[in-house]
Amino acid sequence: MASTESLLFVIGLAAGPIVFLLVMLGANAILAPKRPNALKSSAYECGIEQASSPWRPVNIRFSTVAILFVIFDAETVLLFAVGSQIRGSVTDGIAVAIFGAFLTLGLFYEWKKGGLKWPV
Amino acid sequence: MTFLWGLLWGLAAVMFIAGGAVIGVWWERKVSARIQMRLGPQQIGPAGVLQMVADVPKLLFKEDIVPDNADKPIFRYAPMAVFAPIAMSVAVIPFWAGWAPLDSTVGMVFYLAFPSIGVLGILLSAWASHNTLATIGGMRAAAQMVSYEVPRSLAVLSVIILAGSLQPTEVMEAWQWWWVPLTFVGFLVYFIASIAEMNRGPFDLPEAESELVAGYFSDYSGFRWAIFMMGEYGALISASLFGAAVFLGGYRWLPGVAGLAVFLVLAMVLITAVMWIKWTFPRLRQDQLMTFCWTVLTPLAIVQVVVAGVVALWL
Repeated sequence: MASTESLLFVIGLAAGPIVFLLVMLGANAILAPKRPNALKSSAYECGIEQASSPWRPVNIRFSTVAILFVIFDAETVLLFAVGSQIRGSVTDGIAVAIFGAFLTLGLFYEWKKGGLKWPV
Repeated sequence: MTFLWGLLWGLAAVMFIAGGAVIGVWWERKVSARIQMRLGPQQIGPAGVLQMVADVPKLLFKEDIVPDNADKPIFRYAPMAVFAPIAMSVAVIPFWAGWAPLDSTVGMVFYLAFPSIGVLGILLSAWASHNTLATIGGMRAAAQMVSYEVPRSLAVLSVIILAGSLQPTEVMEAWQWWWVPLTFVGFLVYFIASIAEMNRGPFDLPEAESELVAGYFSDYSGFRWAIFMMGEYGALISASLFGAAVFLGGYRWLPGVAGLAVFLVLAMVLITAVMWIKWTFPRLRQDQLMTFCWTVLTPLAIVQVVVAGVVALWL
């Protein structure tokens, strides 16, 4: 398939589920009752009023995970591109292995530094 | 024209996933009931098979509550980003010799990339809910899903190295039976990481009902809630199909229609195993969950990639 063709296909593929969901949500809007009241439309809590707004800064450990993910996922994607080409060639295999060694080294460095630990 | 074909296949994938989710919920209720020595649904239809057919219309008649303080447009439409990418990912799975709905040359990357878009939908809907429980659930889900993405991709990489292609149909053509023992560790890593990716027990911390009520979808009701439910079962079905195809050989065991049957049976065995695990193991703690991913699964996946890489040099 040519690239524009497959792009169009993928856009169609995305439109399928969205059309389906819009139809179902439309059916829900027509069929369901609509009787909102103050209690019903308040945020779900355990019978008490919401103490504070949840829209505030979150724990820094989540961003550590995010940074780790960006680094490792970028390296994995690069390995995807070259890894599929090493079949049957020792020199290519060594070249990819050097790159892969950096990924492993990075993981062990992070491990040693305690970056993989989730502080309790 | 291609757009219309894509739309058609998108709708077909939705029907497949939604139908599978309906059957999956019934099957899970039956499996969990047997594990706990109950009978499960049995009133509507033989062995309760029509229970879910009755439950889905019920959801359409439920009030669609949007909290006053929520970020309303995002709250309303973010669930779509949870469900749509999972339905789309089914399109690259090779069901038949040399055939997949979208026979893409980068299908393996497509498959790993698209379900991950779901994490954006989860984070958006959790944040838009303006609810403490939902926000914590959403943050947990994001941390967990992006972390388990790494060992999962590396496990799939081992098969890609052996097959020497990123096209799912070519990977299937190159598949040999002895890859099953060779990539068995990779398969286990893929399987465990997939369970964590779809937020199912024992990795269901984002929606741990004993601490977070329902986590990121606490404030959702009616059909919007059902979208999350379908997304969860859709991820289960899609990950099981992909694992059964790429790691276990899928249709390659037998020729023709019998091969397709073997493929679907393998996927169903995986789906049942995921349910069995959910109803047997206790939930992990957040620190155990993250440590397990980075210090057990990721090194194991790297070992598997090295083993596959060494073998591939002489293929």
